[in-house]
Amino acid sequence: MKRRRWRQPPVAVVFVLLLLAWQAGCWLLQPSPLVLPSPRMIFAELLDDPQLYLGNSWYTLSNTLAGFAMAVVIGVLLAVGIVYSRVLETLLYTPLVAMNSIPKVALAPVFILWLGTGNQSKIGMAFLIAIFAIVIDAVLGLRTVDPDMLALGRTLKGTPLKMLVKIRFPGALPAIFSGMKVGIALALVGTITGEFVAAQKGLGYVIMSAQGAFETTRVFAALLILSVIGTVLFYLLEWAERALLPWHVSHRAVSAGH
Amino acid sequence: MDVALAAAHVSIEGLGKTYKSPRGDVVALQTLDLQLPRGAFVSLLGPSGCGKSTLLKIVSGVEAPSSGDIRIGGEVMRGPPDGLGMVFQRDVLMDWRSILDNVMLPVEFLELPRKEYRPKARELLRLFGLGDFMDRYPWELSGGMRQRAAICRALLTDPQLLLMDEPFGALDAFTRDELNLELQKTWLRTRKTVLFVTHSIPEAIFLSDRIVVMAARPGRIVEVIDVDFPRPRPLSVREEPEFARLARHIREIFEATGALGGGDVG
Repeated sequence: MKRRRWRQPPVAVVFVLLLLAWQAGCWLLQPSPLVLPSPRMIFAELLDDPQLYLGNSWYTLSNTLAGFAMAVVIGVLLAVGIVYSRVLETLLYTPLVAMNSIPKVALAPVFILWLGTGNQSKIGMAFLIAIFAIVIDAVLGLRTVDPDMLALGRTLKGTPLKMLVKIRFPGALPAIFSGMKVGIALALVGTITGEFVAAQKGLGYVIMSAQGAFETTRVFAALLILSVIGTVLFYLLEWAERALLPWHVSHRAVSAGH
Repeated sequence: MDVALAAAHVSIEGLGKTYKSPRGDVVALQTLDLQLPRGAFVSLLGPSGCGKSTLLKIVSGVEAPSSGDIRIGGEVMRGPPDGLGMVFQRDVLMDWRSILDNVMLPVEFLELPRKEYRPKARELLRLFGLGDFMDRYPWELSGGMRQRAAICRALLTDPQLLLMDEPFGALDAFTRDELNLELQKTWLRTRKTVLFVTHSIPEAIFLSDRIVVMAARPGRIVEVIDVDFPRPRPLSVREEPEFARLARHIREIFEATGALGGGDVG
């Protein structure tokens, strides 16, 4: 166990090491704080007005999570529909895959027009950007089911619902999780994009307004929080995956019993 | 025993299977008739492409025939029949279920009372030497143990017809012998009608009351051979002259139909 730890150091350790290297670089090269502030300055900025950062972080985080949750629920339902219905497949899946290749960031202004400058447009953006990855991976997972397993289900007179709940869905969970892990990072991108275009709150708003005032330290403070949020969300999902799918190949201990 | 006179459990009549393809039709199974007497152990033996697995799939109701009928207990089959147990070449255990829960799968699908079957599942697993592994996951077990669990799953609801599609084909020789003995023991105890697909001549002779020898291109039955060694058969039956004579006879059929050696390769 100890050895494994060494080979794969915890994320937090890597994070701290990166910050230390950054700090050391700033000491050595003395860049202008307008170009690159040192971590020490960024932390001082964070502690100077914690209320500002907490409030805006919460706004961004809650919108991201709301959009992501919607993307997961609706994405998985769509995937089930696509796998089970030819009509839905032609109506939804092909356009979805085609649409996935257009830059969805460009849709942010449209969302502001439709949903206003409040949190709805941010949730909408997070949802829209995240759902593609989830639908595509979930469809893949639901489709790549062992044909013998389906044959077994059919010899046991399995209803379509039983086949879905007991065979297809559990088998698709690893793929759904990998879609979710891509989706959570994208949801954060969606929220921030929305905040860039029009907002009075959120970390994206903090970045835009600080950039306008040449407050580089504040920009970096918000970026630092964003990177922490993104990393924590990703690892929370990874942790949930390990807890829920201990059987999945990628998590198995080496000690298979034979 | 004169299996031909026993009551037919499964009766296959004028059954054929043709796959349509852009390059023309492919005959997977030429029209054939076959009777499975109740309680008999019947093997389908032949090279790849002889349609033995296709025939099994049709009997399981998963695939439809192009022509002909299957009667089970006299009634024409439509879709998967009642009282059917299925064992595949791969164990098809679900990675996300414990061994016990895997064995309980048919109970959940057929909506039978779980409380009643849970102790039965445990008993069956103990009988198959998996008593200590009920709460383990499939990936923690060896190939032989996994296939045992798959057999338990097929037996749990006490189906009258057991279909086995090369169930030991992926196992090493030792495990295969062991499971052959175990299967014979189980069959002697339960006397289910078994349809067993294999491409191993000794395995077919060792296990079967009747061997249906098949040939490929097109898939067809070439000979039906009854095997009369007394039961229970020990593994050493394979060294008896009669066993060797039967094996040679079957090999000669394969040679004559081009499945082994003889000129017609491909």
